[in-house]
Amino acid sequence: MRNNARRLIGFLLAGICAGSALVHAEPQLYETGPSEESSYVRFVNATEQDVAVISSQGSAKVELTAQAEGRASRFFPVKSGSKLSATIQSNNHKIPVKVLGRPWEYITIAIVPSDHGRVKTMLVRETPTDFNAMRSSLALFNLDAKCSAAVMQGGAKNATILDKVQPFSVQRRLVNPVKLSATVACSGRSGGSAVELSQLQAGERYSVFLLTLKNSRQTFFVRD
Amino acid sequence: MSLLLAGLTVLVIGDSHLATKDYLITTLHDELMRQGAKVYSYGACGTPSGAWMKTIQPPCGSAFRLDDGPLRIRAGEAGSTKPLPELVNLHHPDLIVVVNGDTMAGYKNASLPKTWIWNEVSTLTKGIKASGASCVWVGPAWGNEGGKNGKNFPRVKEMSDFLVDIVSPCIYINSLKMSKPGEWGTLQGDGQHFTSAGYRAWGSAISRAIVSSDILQKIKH
Repeated sequence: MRNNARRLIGFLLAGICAGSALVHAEPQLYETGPSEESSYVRFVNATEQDVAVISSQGSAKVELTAQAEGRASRFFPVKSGSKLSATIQSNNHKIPVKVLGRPWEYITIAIVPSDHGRVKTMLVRETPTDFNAMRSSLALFNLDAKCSAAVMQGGAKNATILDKVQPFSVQRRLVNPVKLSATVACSGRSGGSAVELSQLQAGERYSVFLLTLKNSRQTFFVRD
Repeated sequence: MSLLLAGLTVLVIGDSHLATKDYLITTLHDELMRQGAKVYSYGACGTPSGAWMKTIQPPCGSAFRLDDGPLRIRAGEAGSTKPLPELVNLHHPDLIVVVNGDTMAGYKNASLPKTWIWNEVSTLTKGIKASGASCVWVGPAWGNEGGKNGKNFPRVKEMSDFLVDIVSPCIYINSLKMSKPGEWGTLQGDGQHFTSAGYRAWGSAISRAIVSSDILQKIKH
C-alpha cells in the first residue's frame, strides 16, 4: 500500500510539491515562503465494497477497503493549478475523476454508491487555517446524502462538538487533546453511531466520516 | 554565568541569521557560552524549518561553530547540512534552540502560507520531540520595512502570532517584544538582516530570554 502510494505520487499526480531551491550569490538574500503553492487530495471509499484508485498512466494503484480507516488514503500533495486525473475501479466498473485544487486546499474525493451497483465521486473541499500544536483539530465529514444536518456530540457532558454539517461538506474545530468518545447522528432522527477516538494527540488533525450503507448509519475516523 | 545554563549542551540551528560572521552565530553563540553552556551552532541560509530533518544544500550557504572553535562558512555542495537527528547524535544537546521564521513568512506573498508553514514547523518539532531534548523557538524580529526581502511589520507580526500556536513542544521566544519596530538597524536595502549592533542586541536578548525561561528550570543537570 505504501509503495503504491509512493508510486501514485510519482505517476498519478500532475505535479508534486517539491521545493526548488533558488541559488543566490549573496548569502543574505533569498526568497521567503514556499517555492510553489500546493493543494492536497485524498480518496475515501464510502461504498460497501473495496475500490481501487488507479493512476492516469495505470502504473500505480491505491486500494481502499470497506472497513474503518482502510477506507481512506492519506493526503497526496499536488502542485496547485495542476489537474489530478485518475480512474476509480469498483465491481469491474471504472469511472474517471479529475480535480483541480486551489492553493492550500484539502480535497476529499468521496467514492459513494450510485445506481445499478455503480459508484460516483463527490468532492468535499476545505482550506484550513486552524493549525495548532497544543490542541487537536477535529472535523466531521457528512458523506450521507440523506442526512441534511449531521451532528457530533461527545465528552463527559455529551456536548455538541460540531453540528449542522450538510451532505458532502465538512466542519472542523479545535478541541483539547482529551480522551474522546463521540456519537454522530442526523438532526431530527433517532439513534446515532458511536465513534471511539481514544486519546487525542495535540497537534494532530482528525477526520470523522458519517456514511449510511444499507440503511445503517456508520462512522469511522482517520488521522489526516 | 547562569547557574541554570552552566554545564548544559545547547544546539542552535537556524537560517541566514546564523550563517554569517557577526550574525547570531557569533553574538548568540558567544552569549550562551558566556552563560556557561557548551554550544554548537549551525546555520543554513534560506531554509525553512523542515529542511533540518534532511540533508540539503542551502540556497545561499551555511555555517557552523563548534563550542569555542572558529566559525566555518561553507558554500555550494560543501555547505550541505547535517539533519537534526545526526546533530543530536553528535552533540547530545540538553536544549535545542531554533531560530527560524523569516524564511517562511512569504513577505512578498499576498497572504501568509499557513499550511506550508505548519507542515515545515511540524516536521521539525516532531524530530525535536523524538530527540528528547528541551527546546525553545526564537521567532522573527521586527527588522525594517522594505528592502529586497520585502519585510513588512504586519506580516512579521502575523508570522510571530502564528508561530506561538504551532511550535509546541518548543517554548516560543517572541523577538518582537525585544525591540520596537525598526529600532535595530538593518543592512542597507535589506530590511531583514541586522547590522552588527543589531545582532548584538538580538543575541543578548535571546540569551536573557533563555536564561529566564521556565524551560531551564525543567532541565535536569
